[in-house]
Amino acid sequence: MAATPADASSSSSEAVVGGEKSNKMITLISSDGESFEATEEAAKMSVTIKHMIEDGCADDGIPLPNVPAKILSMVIEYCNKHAADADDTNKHVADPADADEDDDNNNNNASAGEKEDLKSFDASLVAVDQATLFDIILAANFLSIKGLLDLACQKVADDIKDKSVEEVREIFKIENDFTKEEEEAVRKENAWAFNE
Amino acid sequence: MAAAAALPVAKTAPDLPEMDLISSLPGEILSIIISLLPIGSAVRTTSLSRRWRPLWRSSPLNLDISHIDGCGRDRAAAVSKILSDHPGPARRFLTACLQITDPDGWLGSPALRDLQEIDFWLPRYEIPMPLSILRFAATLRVARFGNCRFFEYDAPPSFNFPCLEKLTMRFIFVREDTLHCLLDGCPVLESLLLDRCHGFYYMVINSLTLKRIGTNGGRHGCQLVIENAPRLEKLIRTDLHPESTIRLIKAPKLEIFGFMTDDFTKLKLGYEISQVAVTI
Repeated sequence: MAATPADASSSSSEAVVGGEKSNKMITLISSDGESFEATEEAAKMSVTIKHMIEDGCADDGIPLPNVPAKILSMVIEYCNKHAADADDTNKHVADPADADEDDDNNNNNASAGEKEDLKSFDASLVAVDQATLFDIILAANFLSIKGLLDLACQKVADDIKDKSVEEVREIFKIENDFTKEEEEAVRKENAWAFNE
Repeated sequence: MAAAAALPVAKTAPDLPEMDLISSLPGEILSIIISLLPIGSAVRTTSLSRRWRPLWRSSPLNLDISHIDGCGRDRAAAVSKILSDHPGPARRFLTACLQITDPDGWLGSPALRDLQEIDFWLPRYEIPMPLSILRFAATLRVARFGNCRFFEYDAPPSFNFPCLEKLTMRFIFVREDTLHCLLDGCPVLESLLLDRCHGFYYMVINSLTLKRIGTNGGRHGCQLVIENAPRLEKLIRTDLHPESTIRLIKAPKLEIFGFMTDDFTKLKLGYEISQVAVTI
């Protein structure tokens, strides 16, 4: 006999961060003076901003001298998209290996379709030129938005992995400033990795 | 001037930078990036430039042995080299594909300090899991163990895994009391998979945090009792021994109660419901 399915109206396991979700808007000011509005819920995806809100420093808008407008708008877009699903977002390091084993590591509240949406949103957010990507990384680091930092760093890692040293230098314009002896010594240190 | 068609091909592709931007990222960020790379690529970053040379050793070690080419002996040699070279801490150590000849030696390596994720297989089934695995108890978040006898002592050691969220045990002999001690020592466990394990005829689940349970096969039947699992959403049992039963006492969120025919490791759901006695 079949087991009865669980009650379908089980409540979503929302993060118990500061209790109920408010509709309050927060103003964020980029380094070049542009103002952006974000819901408190989205803004709190940044641990840095979350602390400022909780310390009562956010009432007149939060200046972000490290983040230019172009990047800040992308960051806010990310936060808006992911805020609804912030349950475990800040817990895990994003691990591609986990995606096969269980697909609901993070984003426990999203349906399959929504997860696909988020995935393709994330992919297009970081499909940018290197300068922009690094600016996103720096902003995510400064603002302490773990999910975005992991996402953007993973993109860089994907561009590096399985490529030869020469290819990586070419893609990132890294100058080889080793002497011939130094370079030989480095390669010898872990010869197993250098049979290319 | 010259027609557009005669313009020379750009020296660099349009979205490559003019200058080296990546090397001026802060070291802590480069460390994050390096720790996301497969081990070969991570080690090769040491030869990119002088700036990059020390970075791999100061990023958390991410060592998945399956990413090392070569035969078993070559791989083992590479792993020994890596473990002696890296000062730690480590993020991941995945050994599933390799016959480990010196489990204690590797597990004791300073390079594996503060390990968060482990996949550890013993070479022969009769071998006990080394005690040294408990060295990582305080920091492990994800653990997969395979092919051994699990802590068969008169008194099981005290298990304390404060961060462990995901536990997988395959081909493991573990006694009932040891298994329950282990589960009691995992206060934040969300996912539990027991694949072809035996030694326990009765398993009681009493967990405020477990969301997913899977069991597969086993040499003998086992009665699984879900005594109290308020967050349990998925319970999957495959390849059931004819004497296996289940009692569901309290699992208010249970949505999927499935019996799969596919390879269990993929956690794809089938739609057959097995015959069980259900008590609610």
